[in-house]
Formats: sequence, C-alpha cells, structure tokens
Amino acid sequence: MRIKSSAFPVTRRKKRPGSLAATLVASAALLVGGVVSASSTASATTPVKGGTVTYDMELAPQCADPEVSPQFTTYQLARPVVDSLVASSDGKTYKPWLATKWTVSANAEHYTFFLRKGVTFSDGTPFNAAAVKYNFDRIVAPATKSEYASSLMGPYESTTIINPYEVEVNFKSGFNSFLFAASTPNLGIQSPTALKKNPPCSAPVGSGPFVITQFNAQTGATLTNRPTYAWDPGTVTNKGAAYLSTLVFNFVPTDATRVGSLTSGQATIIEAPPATDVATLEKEGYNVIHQPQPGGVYDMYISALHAPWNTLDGRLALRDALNVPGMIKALYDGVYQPAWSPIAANTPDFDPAVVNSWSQNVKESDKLLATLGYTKRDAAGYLENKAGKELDITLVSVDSREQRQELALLIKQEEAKAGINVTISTNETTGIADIYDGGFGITASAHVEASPDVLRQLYDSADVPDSGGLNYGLFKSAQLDTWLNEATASINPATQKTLYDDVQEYVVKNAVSIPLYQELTLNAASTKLKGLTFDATGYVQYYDAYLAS
Amino acid sequence: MIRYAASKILWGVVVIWGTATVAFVVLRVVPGNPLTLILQGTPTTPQLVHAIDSQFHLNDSILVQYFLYLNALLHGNLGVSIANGQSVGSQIFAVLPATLQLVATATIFGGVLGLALGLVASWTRFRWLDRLIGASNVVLTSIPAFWAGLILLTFFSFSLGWFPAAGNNGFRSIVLPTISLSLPVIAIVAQLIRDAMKEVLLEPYVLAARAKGLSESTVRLRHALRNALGPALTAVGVIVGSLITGAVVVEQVFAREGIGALALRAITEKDFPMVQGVVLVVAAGYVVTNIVTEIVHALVDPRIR
Repeated sequence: MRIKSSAFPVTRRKKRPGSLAATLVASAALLVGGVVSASSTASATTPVKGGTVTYDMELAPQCADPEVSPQFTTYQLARPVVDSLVASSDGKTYKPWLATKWTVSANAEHYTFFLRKGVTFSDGTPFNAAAVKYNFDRIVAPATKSEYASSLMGPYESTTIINPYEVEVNFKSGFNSFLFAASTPNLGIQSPTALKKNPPCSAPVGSGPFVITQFNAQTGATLTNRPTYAWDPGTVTNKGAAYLSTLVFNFVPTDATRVGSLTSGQATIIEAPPATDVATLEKEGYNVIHQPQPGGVYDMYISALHAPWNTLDGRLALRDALNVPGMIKALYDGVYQPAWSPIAANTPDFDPAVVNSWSQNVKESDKLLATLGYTKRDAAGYLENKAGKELDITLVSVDSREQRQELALLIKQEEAKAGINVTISTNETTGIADIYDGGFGITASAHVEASPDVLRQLYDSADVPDSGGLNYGLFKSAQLDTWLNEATASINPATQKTLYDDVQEYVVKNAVSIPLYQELTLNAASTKLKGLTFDATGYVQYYDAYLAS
Repeated sequence: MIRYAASKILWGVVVIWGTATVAFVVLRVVPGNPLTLILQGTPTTPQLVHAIDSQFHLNDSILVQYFLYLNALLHGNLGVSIANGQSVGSQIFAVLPATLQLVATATIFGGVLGLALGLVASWTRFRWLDRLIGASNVVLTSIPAFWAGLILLTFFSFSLGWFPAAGNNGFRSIVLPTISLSLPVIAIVAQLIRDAMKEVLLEPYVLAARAKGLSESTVRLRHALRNALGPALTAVGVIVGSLITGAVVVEQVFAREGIGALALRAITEKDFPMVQGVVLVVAAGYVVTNIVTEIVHALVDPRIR
C-alpha cells in the first residue's frame, strides 16, 4: 500500500475536516501576509530551561500510532516522543541518531545500522536490534493496517539481527530512499513492550526527549520532558534533555478559538491561522511562520483515458491555455509560490532546468487543437469538431481549502478563452468515484514528502490508485518506468540526480501533469517562543525550543 | 400506567428499527458500489477487500445483508470503523459520557433558569420586565450556538481569562459550553412557563384556591405551576434530542471531547460504519428522552394516561 491522495478523503498524514479531498498537505488556508523565514524565530539569546509551551493544532489524530496513521497530526505528535535511526533537516544529508553509523550495499538492497548503546525507552525497556526488527516487521504486517509507514518500507523483505547492536534491513529490490524513510517518525522506533501491551492506536512510547504523560484522542496530549535524555539527533544544537519542561498539544478544530487562544496567551503557538487573521497577527507582533514543504506540488493530473486529452497535443493545448504564475500570484499574493516541476523546489534532486520552461500561449493551443480536428466555435464560444462534439473536460476539485475552488474557477475561465469547456465537479461522492475509476478528466492533489521518490509513486505505471499508488492519471510510459526504477535502485547521488532530472523534464515536456503551486506549513507563535526548528518535511520541532524570560 | 409505558417503549423500538433500516438503505442507494464508497480511495489490498466483503457481507443478497446487519445490531455490534479499524461501539461509548454530561448540564441549567425567568415574567407587575424577558427569549432562540460560543469565548476566555478556551478539564471548562448550548432551552422553557402560567391562573380552581385564602406563592407554585409545567416538560424532551445535535457544534468551538467531534470527523471522512453508529446512538437518545418525558408527563398529569 502506498499513499493517499488529496483527491481522496483520507489524507496522507494530515486530515482536515471540511475538506473531503484529503491530502498530504501542509496547512490550511492562509493566503496573506509575508514570509517569515524559519531562522528569524531562532534567537541569539541563551536558552532557558523549563516552562510550558502550548501548541493548538487543527486536527485530532484518528490514530495516534505513527506506524499506522498517515496523518500529519500524528506525525507532529509522535516526533518529540519517538526517535528515528537517522536524522535529516533537508532530506539530502543524514546524521546519526539511534544509529551511530550505517552502510548501504551497492545495489541498495541491504542497509546495515550500528545502533547506539545505552538508549532506553521511556517505559524503561532497552533499545536494541530486537526493537528495530520488531518495529519494522510490525509495520509491514497486514494486521497492523498501516496506512503510510508500510509504503515507506518500500520492497521490504526482512530485518536480520546481527548482534544486539547491529541490524541488517533487507529489501527485495534496490530501495535508495530508505534513509529518508528511516528518518521519519512513522518509522521511528517504539518500545516493543508498549506496542504489545497497549491497545491499537494508543499514544506512542518511544525513546525521545518528551514522554506522553496524558492523552485524549479528541482533545489533546501532555508531553513531559525526559530529564535523562542523552541521545540527541545530529541535526540539533541542544545536547541532552530538551529545554521545555512540558509541551501541551491541544486539538482545536475551530480557527477562531485557536487564534483567540494565541492572542489571550492560552496557547504559545497555533497551527494554520486563517487567512483573514494572518495580517492582524503579524501587525500585533506574532511570528507567522511559512515553511515550504518538499515533495509533490499541487498538481493537475490529466487522465490518460479520454480523447483528445490522452494525446500529447491535447495535453499541451490544455497547458498552453493557462497562465499558471499569473493565477497563483493573483490568488495567493506571493504566499504560495507557483510550481514548475512536479516536485517542489526544496525537494532533493529538484531540476531547476524546468523553471520557466513553458508559458501561456493561446495561439499555440488553438493550433494544436486544430490539428486534432477542433476548428469551429459553437454558440457558447467553445471549440467543436466536425461531428459537432464540443471540446470539454471535467475537473474534479472537491477540496475547498487553500482557495482551491477559486483556483479551479480561474482555470475554467482561462481554458474557456482557448475554447475548452471545463466542467468543475465538486460533488464529493461522484468526484471520488470518478477518480477512483479513472473516469475524471483532470484531478488535482499534492503529496508532501522530503524525497524525490514521490516521483515514482506519481508516475510509475504500476503505482495506480487501485494498487495503492498515486498515479491518478493512469499515465503509462516505459521510459519513465525505467528511469524511476533505476533511480530507486541507485545509491549513486549523481546517477539519481540525472535520472530524476530526466523524469522531471519528461513530465514537463510531455505535459503529463500541470504543476500549480508549492505547499507550505503555516504556524503563528508568540515571540517568547525561541529556537524553533523545522524538519525536512516542514514541521515544527521542539527539541531546541525554549521560552525567553 | 404500565400499559402506557409499554406502548411508548414498543413505539420507541419501532422508531430505532426504522432508523437502522434507513441508515442501512442509504449506504446502499448512494451512487457507486459500496466497496468503492467504503474504500474511498484508500489503497486497496486483497486483505482489505476481503475484510470489507466479510464485514458487510457484500457477496450476499441485499436481504441477507440486511438481516445479518440487524442481527449484529441486536447483539450490540455496531461494526468496525473504516478510519482506524477499531470498534465503532467502543469509540462512541468512550466519548458519549462527555456529550451526555454537557447535554445534562445544559438541560438542567437551561431548565432551571428558564423556569425562573418564566415565573418572573408571569408574576411581575412590571409589564416592561415581562416584555424584556419575552424579547430576550426571541433573541436567545435565534442565536446559533456556534456564534454564542465564540462571543462567550471572546469575553470570558480571551479577554477576562476566567475560563479556558478549549478542552474537557474540570468544572471551569464546561461552564461556557453549557451556557452556549442552553440558550434555546432557557428561552423556550421561559416562554412556555410564562404563557402556561398566564392561562392556568385564569382557571376556576385557582380562583377557588385563592378563595380558600391560600397565599399567592402557594397558589402559584403549588397549584398553578404543576399544571403549567406540562408543555415545558414536553418541549424539554424534544429539545434534549436537539441538544445532542447542538453539542456537535459546541464541541467543535470549545475543542471538547464528545460524540459531536466523532460524528463530524466520520462524516467528512465518509466513515460509514461510524456515521451509522452515531446516527443510531443519537436516535436512541432521542427515543429514550421522549419516552422518559412522556412517562414523567403522565405521572405529573394523570389526564394524559
């Protein structure tokens, strides 16, 4: 099983009520305000020990076990609690964490991890090779019903315990994105004793700098500092125990309640302040933090099942009709950035060559459509062919967050100028069924992940939704399949880069999909909160965080 | 009396059975095949398909499916949530006490305050006070709980800091949700008590009581009120049902635990077994409160039986 799409109700790692089309995306609406860089929230002052930080999150987790849940809420809840084998702040370079070093076989089929000694889980049980094996075997076991972590395991075969502090993780075929996978909290190592004892979807018990001491699946969790913590990831400046004594995570679905909690001091930091409040919060001196997210951008996938859109000329004509940067600027005013590649600019192996490689060209669109037989306009101004068939396409857009419905309307307007009649389907039931059966014309979604491997999930012909993949367009290209599978099996960074460049250029040149904008996370925080850092996926980390006195 | 109660309970069982049937039918008549709808694009594996097939008996005829479903319900089995694979029943019953607590505090608070206001309005010599209470009732019934909640939060939590904005921690956290949820109860009870009192006070037995020289408060509270309570009691029975619905919104605003948050999430995520379970439990709640109200009403007013 792999990931979920934003076209579908279950989001990968993040679910948002009110938007059917789930997604792997960053955050909610928020389309105003300037970008505050992450570093600006850090400070030169000396960290202070103690204090409580209250984080109001938008969604409650459906399942608190990161090995099961695809939600970003679960991901964020688990990160301070569960340590991973390796750490990464950019998705490119990896630092030791629970593994002090590791080796990868030349075919990327075998990973050997040398484990840190003296690490204990918060329930007192030891961390060792058996714990690693137990977690990885559990993730892929069908009984676990993992909705995301299992896809991160790729072609997992087995974990072999070489000695109590050395494990070999084996794959059926080359799988070079396993280091990325191993750095996520979804593949973090939880206490096997706790996993066996607690009911499914319980709050995780790990070896992290914080321990979940109180948990209510609907209202929130209290995380307490673990003073004996001494195995920090190599990506942070703090050593030893975290600075904060308590972290309180509240699940607060109503936007106004989160904002009010921040301004009244009941919350220190809130997730996804609504667009209408961002400017005010900035004016009042709160840190509004936009953090770009890597992985699949918000992208329109064109179905390979319907003529004339299953031809190169048809797809190019569709794309030539659109002024993507213009639409994104008009709608989001610089908060969301237009996308050129199917992956975001901060994804490893992003190919800058595709930037500005196409632009709106309605004349060219006309010419291409004429070659397809669509030459005359009907009374409504839409093109039709000799048989009198109007040129139309259905755009499935069921998600209302991030102004995606407004974006769909802009697309409809621009396509209409080129003579293409776009019907927007917002009907959730039909929309979902359409996508599921591949009966749609275009559908759009985004898939956050700090690895270019997301390209394989999106364009490999085997990764269609029926088999749990993300290839919604059902696009098939032997060339793409070859490149993607070679890239996945290679451990040579230069080879990977070349192959992923080829893939991105192919996708753009052949208009397999039409990238729209790049995702980001949005948080607003009190200026007292210092030392916030972000992981490779764009989520807040609290290990270095402290409250300025 | 026992016959009366039994007939009401029997009728309640029929209503719950009807609700269960509607919930069953709706799942089968919505467009698309049930499996696709249930999966909703969730990555499919043969195990998952098999699990759903066997859970919903999709390979059997509709009639067989229906009886299997009723049989499971009779055994208290509400099925398994698609979203997290856990029992629907255990998830609902884990949060139901929180919702019931909120509904109960709102009903009691609203009922008592409404009763007091209704008595004041019917008793006062000042017409302006009666009119003021009447006008407030109109306002209170028209304020959406969502908006009331935000206004209360703004003043009493964000500005004054008297109550926490979110969560289920202790007495202070239930005050504002209770008030937001109880506004329509206050208004309806106050209005019904006032009107009924005005009417009842014109009855000959009130005149007779006064003629006996009983004090005004005895006449009003002991004789008139008992007869004026009927309409308000019936109304409260109906309102309590709708309060469970109102709790959905209030629980969201105050980020409280409860069946409302569960229902909303199940709906947005198309978790059919969960929606079905919540609908049945809420319907059962309606039916039970109505039966209880009717029986209490019959006890208070023997003419009903």
